[in-house]
Amino acid sequence: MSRSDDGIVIVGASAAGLSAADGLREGGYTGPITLMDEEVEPGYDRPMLSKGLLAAKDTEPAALRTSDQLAAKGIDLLGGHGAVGLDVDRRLVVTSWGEAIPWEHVVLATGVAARPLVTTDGTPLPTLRTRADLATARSLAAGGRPVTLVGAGFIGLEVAAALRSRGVEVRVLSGCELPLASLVGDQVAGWLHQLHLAHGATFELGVPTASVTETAAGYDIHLADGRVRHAATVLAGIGTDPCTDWLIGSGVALDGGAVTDPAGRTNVPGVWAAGDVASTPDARLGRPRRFEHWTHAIEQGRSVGLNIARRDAVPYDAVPFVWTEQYGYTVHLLGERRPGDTDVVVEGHVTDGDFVVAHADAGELHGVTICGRVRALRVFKKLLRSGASLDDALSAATPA
Amino acid sequence: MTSVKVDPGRCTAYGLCVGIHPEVFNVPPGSPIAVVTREVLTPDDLEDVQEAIRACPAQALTLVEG
Repeated sequence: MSRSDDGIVIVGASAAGLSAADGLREGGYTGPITLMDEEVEPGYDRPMLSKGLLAAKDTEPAALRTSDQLAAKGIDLLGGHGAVGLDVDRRLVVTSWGEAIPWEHVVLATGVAARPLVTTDGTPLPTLRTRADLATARSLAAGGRPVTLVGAGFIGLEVAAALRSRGVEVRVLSGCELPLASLVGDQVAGWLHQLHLAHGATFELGVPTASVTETAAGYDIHLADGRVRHAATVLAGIGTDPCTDWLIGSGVALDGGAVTDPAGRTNVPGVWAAGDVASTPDARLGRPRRFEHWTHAIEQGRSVGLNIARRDAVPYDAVPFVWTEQYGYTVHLLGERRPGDTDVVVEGHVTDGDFVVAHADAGELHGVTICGRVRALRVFKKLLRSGASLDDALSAATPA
Repeated sequence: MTSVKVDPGRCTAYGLCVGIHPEVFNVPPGSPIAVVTREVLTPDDLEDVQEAIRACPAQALTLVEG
């Protein structure tokens, strides 16, 4: 029985899902495309949530596509429709409204959710991942009370910087000794940390948070060493989890995400995954891994769409790329620093916020961290893609 | 003739386009938006310019033909 009339269902309408839809049309697919998402108004500029949007008071996140753009490409968007189950035998997605939507191919692009930090009374603390979270975070910012951030990853630090720009008193708690050090090296991480201190953020590092209890005045944060910190308000940035609960028992292999081959195919024929939720083989780690990078979601999503449309299985491979904005500085990370890497300043000066730092081991270039030199990105991306050495990076650099 | 235009109402000067193709895009110091520095694109520019269009979180870039 041909199911070709059933078309393609894409679950998740953010960067990866929208790009998969575009890739399908770009690849010549002319059948029906249904994009569904649990958010009522999905598909917006998510990177800006923790950056300029939190710093601003009322600007709404920009939509990634207009309804006219979607209509012109014949893409049906079902907002407010979460997926609650996948039936791989009858080829159906079951929605939160109880509908069963048939598919010839389905793309899992449900992304990740902010990992909840829940008080001992069972209240989940605010996080920042979605449009709705932005409203909560803004009300914290507008409330005038000090904000304690649990977690010092990209989200925690960007939120700290955005809140400081609004004059909010900010304290950051983290189990790590120096935020982002494993990703950018000690020198850049130290500079960023100093930047936060100079802007009045305070830190308590090196001791993880054990639990949070609710009090009359707010919260008590119990640190792992037994100390307690009082907090008026708390926002958690302690990581993310892939949105795969709805796939448990479906037959799709799950291992820290929906496991795919390099082309984006899961173990079930007709079922693909793209973006943050997709866990792809990593030869170096010897296990599947996910990327939570904006451009990765877009390019890998498009690649999956093209593969489906062209009945192809072209592997997707690109240099990892992520950026963060703090206090007006944009820091770009290309490739990936590995534990034990030496960090070499190949251009500029770190303390000036104008630099290119290479991360390498035994002359092998693994990653580059760039600030204030956005034009250098293209050069170093090409070097990383070609498997260049630290010497190549040094020769490509424009000194000072 | 193909060119790329920046929608000033959407651009927020992320600068991802500059990182992807610095010969075509630039965010001058102090500028609130990206600017196009090569009015007419060459065939060699197209692949990177299209990647920049896809990558733009603000979806502020459009290819213009003719």
